[in-house]
Amino acid sequence: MRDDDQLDPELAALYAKERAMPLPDGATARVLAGVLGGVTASAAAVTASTAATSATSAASSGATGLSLGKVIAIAVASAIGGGTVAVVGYRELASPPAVQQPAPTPDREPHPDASSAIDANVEIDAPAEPAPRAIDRPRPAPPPDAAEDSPADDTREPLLIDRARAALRRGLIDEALATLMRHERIHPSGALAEERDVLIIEAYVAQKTTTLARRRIERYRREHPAGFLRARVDRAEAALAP
Amino acid sequence: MSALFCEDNVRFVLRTLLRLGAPPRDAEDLAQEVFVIAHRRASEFDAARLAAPWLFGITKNVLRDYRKLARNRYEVLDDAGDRSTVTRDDDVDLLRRAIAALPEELSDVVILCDLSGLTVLETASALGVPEGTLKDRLRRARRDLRVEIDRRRQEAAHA
Repeated sequence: MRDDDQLDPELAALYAKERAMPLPDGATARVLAGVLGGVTASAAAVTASTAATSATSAASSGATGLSLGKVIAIAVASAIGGGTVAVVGYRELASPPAVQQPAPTPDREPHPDASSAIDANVEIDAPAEPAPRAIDRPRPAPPPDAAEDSPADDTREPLLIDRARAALRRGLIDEALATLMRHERIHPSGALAEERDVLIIEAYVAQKTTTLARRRIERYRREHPAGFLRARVDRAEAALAP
Repeated sequence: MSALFCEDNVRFVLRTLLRLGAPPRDAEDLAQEVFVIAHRRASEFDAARLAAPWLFGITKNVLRDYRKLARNRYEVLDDAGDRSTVTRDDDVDLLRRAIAALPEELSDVVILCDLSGLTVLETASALGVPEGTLKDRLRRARRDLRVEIDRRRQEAAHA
């Protein structure tokens, strides 16, 4: 039931206009690519490479007729090797259901502190790295000094990146930069290198360290000419004072 | 795995973020966070149920935490940086601002039931309230939304 009979016509018109509002071009694909990067980085790096390779080749060939976002979604599925979650899509403005859904369980967990959701991600993986990087780059060699620095888990790529993201979101820029530099030292060509480079730019921009930010932007464009995160770099550059 | 990670759900989360007043320039990053958390908690998701209400809960929590950060607390919907990436429409802005001005229990109903297309029953289940309560909230939400829209239009006309 939609209770449309009680809906004010003008309100209904506004609703229709709002629903028809387009999302930015490529937004869904970018989100899926980001999720794919974060998930595959820890869950199944090797499998992710295979799946993403398939996805990329399929997307580039256009043979499947699937959109990039759908291909990426398939890559996510393959990479995670799931089966834990069945296919239940969202029915946007779908017809009324034949049967009432059983009561779902919305996420209503209390958040004990200001950084809860973001900090909670520390134990998981940063949603960051686009799939193709896992294909293009060889798996990073084991860091020479990782064992000396700390327990091995403490130097995992996703953990470092996620820690840096959390620090950046909390405004702890120095801490974020220190973590990112550590990542750069330990995983110079890691699967999350592009995300790291973008985060460094964003940290410098937030810190208003204009010279270093511009230098990093130039370096990013040189090293990632076809990077998936170019839009974020463009936004960071735009945020710099002229 | 998972049509949790399908385009429809991504669109739902992105639109929900915008409807809840998230700054457009951060909507994609926030959506990524939503899906990373969804992936981490996928074992809690009942595949027989609709994904949208579950994702809605995560989305609200992610946005709530985002707003707790001091630097995001005073974000406005229409800073100049967003104009290049999102098509602007004054009516849509007006509607979204008016929705954001409603109490949370009413704005949730408008977003899920009126804008996202969930049924009253689905929305009631998602929010954990009886159907009668949901219908009452929906009536109040539409009435208050109309009042808020009219008030904002009058203010704009006199500005």
